[in-house]
Amino acid sequence: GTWVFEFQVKFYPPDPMSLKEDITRYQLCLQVRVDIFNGRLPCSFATYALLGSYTVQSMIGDYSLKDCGPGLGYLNDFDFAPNQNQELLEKIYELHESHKGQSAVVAEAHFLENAKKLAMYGVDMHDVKDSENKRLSLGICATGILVYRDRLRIDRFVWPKILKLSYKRNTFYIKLRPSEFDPHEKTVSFLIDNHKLAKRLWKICVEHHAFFRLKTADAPDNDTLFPRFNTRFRYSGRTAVQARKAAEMVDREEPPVERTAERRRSGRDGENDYDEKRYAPDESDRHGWNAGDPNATLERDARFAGLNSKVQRSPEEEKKLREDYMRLLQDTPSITSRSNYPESRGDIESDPRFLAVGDEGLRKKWFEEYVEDLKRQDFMQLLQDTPWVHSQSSWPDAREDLKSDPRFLAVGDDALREKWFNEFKQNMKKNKAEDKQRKKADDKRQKDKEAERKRLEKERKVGKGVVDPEVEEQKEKVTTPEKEKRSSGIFSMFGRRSGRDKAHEPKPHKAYEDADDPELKLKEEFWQLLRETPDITSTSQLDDVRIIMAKDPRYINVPTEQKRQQWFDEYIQNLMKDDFMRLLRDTPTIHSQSTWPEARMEIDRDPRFEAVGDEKLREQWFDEYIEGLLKSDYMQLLRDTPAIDSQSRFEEVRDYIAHDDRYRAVPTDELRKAWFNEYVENLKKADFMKLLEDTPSITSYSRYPDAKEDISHDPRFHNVDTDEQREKYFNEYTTELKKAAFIQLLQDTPDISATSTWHQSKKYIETDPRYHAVDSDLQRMKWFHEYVNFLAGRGYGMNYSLRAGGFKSIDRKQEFLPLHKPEAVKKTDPMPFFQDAKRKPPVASRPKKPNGYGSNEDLINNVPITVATESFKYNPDLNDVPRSTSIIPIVETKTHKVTYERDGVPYETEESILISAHSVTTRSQTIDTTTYKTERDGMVETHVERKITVVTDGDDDTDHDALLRAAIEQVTEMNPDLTVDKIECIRQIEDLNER
Amino acid sequence: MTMTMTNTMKSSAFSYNYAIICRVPRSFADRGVTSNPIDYQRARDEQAQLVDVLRKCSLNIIELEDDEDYKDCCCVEDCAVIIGGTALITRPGLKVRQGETKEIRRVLKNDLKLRIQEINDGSATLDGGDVLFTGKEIFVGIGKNTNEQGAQAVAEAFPEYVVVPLNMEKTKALHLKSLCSMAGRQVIAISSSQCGMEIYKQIKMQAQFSYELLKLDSDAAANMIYVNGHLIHRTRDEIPDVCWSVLDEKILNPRHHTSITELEKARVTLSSLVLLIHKEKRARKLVSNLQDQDMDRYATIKTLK
Repeated sequence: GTWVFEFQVKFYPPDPMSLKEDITRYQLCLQVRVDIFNGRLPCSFATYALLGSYTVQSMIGDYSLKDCGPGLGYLNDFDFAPNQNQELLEKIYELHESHKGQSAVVAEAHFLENAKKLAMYGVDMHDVKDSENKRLSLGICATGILVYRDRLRIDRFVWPKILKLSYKRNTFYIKLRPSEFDPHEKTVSFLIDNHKLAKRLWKICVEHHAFFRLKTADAPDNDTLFPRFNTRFRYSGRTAVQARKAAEMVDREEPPVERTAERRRSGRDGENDYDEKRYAPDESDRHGWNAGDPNATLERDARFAGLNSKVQRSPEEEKKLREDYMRLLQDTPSITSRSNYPESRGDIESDPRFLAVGDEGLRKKWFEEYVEDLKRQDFMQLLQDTPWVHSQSSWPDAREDLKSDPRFLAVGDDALREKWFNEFKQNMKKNKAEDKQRKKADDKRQKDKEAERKRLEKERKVGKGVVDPEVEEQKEKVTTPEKEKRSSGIFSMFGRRSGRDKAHEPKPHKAYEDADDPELKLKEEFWQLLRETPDITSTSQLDDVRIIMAKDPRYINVPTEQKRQQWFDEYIQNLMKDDFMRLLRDTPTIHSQSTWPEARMEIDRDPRFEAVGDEKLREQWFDEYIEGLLKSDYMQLLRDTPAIDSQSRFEEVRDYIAHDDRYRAVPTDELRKAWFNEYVENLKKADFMKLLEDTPSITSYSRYPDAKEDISHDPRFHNVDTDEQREKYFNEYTTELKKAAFIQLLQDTPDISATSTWHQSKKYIETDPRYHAVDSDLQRMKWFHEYVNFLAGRGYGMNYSLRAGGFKSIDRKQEFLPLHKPEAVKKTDPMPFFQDAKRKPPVASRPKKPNGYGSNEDLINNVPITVATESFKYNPDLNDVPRSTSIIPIVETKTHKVTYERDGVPYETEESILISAHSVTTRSQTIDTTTYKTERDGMVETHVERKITVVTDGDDDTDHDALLRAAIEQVTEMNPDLTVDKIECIRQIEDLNER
Repeated sequence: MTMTMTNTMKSSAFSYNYAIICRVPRSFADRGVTSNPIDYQRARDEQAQLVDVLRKCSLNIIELEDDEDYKDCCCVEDCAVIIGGTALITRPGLKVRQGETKEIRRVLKNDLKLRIQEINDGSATLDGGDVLFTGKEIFVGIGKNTNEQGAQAVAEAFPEYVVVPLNMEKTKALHLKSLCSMAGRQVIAISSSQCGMEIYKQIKMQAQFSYELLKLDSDAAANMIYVNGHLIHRTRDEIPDVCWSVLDEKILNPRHHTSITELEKARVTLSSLVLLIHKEKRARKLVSNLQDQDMDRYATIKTLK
């Protein structure tokens, strides 16, 4: 696939102007902008504005009304600061205007000149604790190590002051040179969360020290006299001095700096860009002789097309590209049947699947094909939804009645409409039963029409005149709210409305179908607002809490008061039900054999009981609860019966369980069988899910028809009875994956906190592929709310307790736990009636963490042993905490085969067991300590080998003897049992001429 | 004329165009003790002299009416920390003084249109006199009037700068600036009293960038105002002769001197009487005196004298 490389700066030059080439400075600018945007380089408002204005100047040049358009709109595509607002944009605009005349290079220079002075520029921060376990941060920078407590810099150790850096397990040591005020050597230590991070910190320090402090990096040691383990580490790149020298030596023409416009470039720009290229002046036509010659243009266009699709692709390759591209379009929820290419281009142009199609013409063509297909599907759906269209319908007649539907209007061409209409009729012929139904409906419709016509005629005769259709419509409008009001009472809605909703549910689900019904979204947002409002309980009235929410946009956005009331009631209803169910669960005397009058006596004084005003509703919920209990008991029985597996049939196994009370408790045989089937179905599903999990080629992007091939050979695949079911499970699985990735994305975005709202946060993540992987905006919103509610410790969904009436509120965090660890909860949950039998789909192990609300530590510890081959996309929104790129999975091995090399002939010893290996590097010394155990003839020997390498620069007049003496002393003083084995002197002379 | 030109040209630290002072209130006389009573009128005269000197340093003076409710209202420095276009309104350590910030906030916000930052941490206390902005980094004295939370608030308001806390618990001084102040672009004047040496030691160890430290024999001498290239300090009668000659020898910038013997009776320092502001409509640069040698070399701290 496509490899996407991410550029990142490791050593920030203290003086960016000393960089030789503009392109390097530009790259540094990009990095600093990322750092600013993700909050690693905090600034005050004025500085954000200042740096932002230079960014704009370098990216789009002088401000001009013509290019930038009126207002601040032209700044919207830039990411300046973590919490940028209108005020900041205004200030940036003001400053941008004043930078007139600065070239991109100059603006970047100004940018860096200011950025380099920022306190946190080039400081690599790490969380540590001091010996009293208080949180501190260490910042590694060009001049040394800085110590912070919160934002205060409380101490600093410059490189010259540091004698030795080392780490042991999770402790990091800095040994300091005596100073004017502190005449003794001392060692300070910091605790780090774990060993790996300690090692990482140490490595970064060693690298920074080598790069900024040394003239040349220590040469990697090839000598293998002593066994070496993984702690040997040296910075092996060029140091700052060498890099500068090398840059001076390089004699190349400065490469041109291509300043890529912002990632979120609007579609309009993209189009212009494209047109500009397309109609660039013809190179061979400098004199304009060919101007106006149509052939010349054609020729040029042909050449252009050739340029764009330089690579000749085989039909298969093209097919593959097309598939990927189509999938991208499907995955991009903003693309609907009403989209057009130039507008939607911006949404997809950064995707590798988009880029892979090199040819702009092809992209556009395929896009149009896709949209036409969408339109066709919509149109077909319209016909399908119109109950009276049948195989004999006539087009002009149907046309009249359909023409106001947006799905009809979306298709621009009437010929096309008719064609599709005929197609539909053809299909209808095949489905005789349905066709018959439809014909009946049509007959009725025709009759109604006729009756209506007659009525109108009659009215006209009477002299009422023609009823203005508009007036009629208005009448309709006036009556609707009343109707709704009547039905929106708390109780009526449950019985009636839910019935109506159900009728809508079984609509065929299609992957491309946009579930983005704006009303559902508003509802979800409104509900989230209710969830966030702490005082809402099942006894709340909308009027009581209205004041609290009245200013919230999510409240205001609800179009009508009726809707608000209705949704609020629905919400409260859910709360109420939840509380009531919990009451039943909390009452130990209620069991699966309880009857309603019995149970009622137990609970009728509880406020949660009283909150539900309707006796019928109470009883209904009680029945539901009891059924849940029976079912979960029964399911447990099935689980307890080892004879039942996914191949079992009810009749076969009935004898095994018929004697059990839990079997007999179920009132009817029908129910027993139905639940049994459900159970077996779930077993099959679990197997199928496992299969999906075991198939690495299935990712959240996969689609069932494509993936089918990969898994159809597996028995677990055929185990599931129908293909529809398989597809359904498959979709559930990929949704799970998408969710995991999406949650991960939220987790990776530092700007999203418990108090974030969807609209604020959307912008941080909407450029991420994981965002687009999710099918619908509604879904994203729901998951987002789930996530922030989790962060805030609120329940998502209906896990509220009744907080009025002095009831101890239930820990909402715990209520949410099922999402965290579904399996663990299943066993302990005393009333798992809602979902119990349907086993949670096994959570996938990819990506990183399923459902992953893991802690940072989990993330680090759970890095897979294998090296990840996923390609990561450069994304400035992602927070670059240490874990993102640099934690390379390390395989920890405890047993080593030790290889000695003696006289140039390597031979192996017996297995020895490594106990510890440890390396300390200072400016002139490297100390490797290796401890290992050897078992020989039943004797266990422990070897400690310490190897001290003294390296000195040839230039210095160093006292080798003194260094050596110190080294020997160091060894023997620590442990008198150690003896000096060997002293080796190597002089490396480099012939400079040879290089 | 030329002077104002250069001032607007370089938006570096220590160039200011406005100064806020607040008239000495009558109740200021209550600050005195019976053995050494304060003459209110003399205190007013001393302040008027200082204003004249400030005018000479090309500053526009904003003079606030005295507020009899606040005896210390003339010490405006404690009410705000201002760097560039951002003003952090402080929360003075003495509870009775906390109301003083109200008027200062109003002037900074409405008249000078600065960006106002407030202290969000309710437990923080901060006196402006404990904040020394060196043009490169910020030292905050943690002691009687300022606590660590106050220092955190400074760091939060000015994230561009390194904020280094200095421990003042061992000193008897009221404020960090009673012991040290800026005396030049790179020069920090520090009193060589016992308290001053405590600070001297810490600055020497903790400063991240390069300075010259000027040791002066008295606390009174170490408190100066360095503004637009001018140095304002006490008169010859108020400071030891040695200090005077050190200043003669080491300071090359134009100098002004003014007396505050009457005000000093209430432990008022020269710098505490003024709040300096650099107001620029479109700042093109970060306010900073950092130079290239500060960036990639290790701090070199020279001691003058």
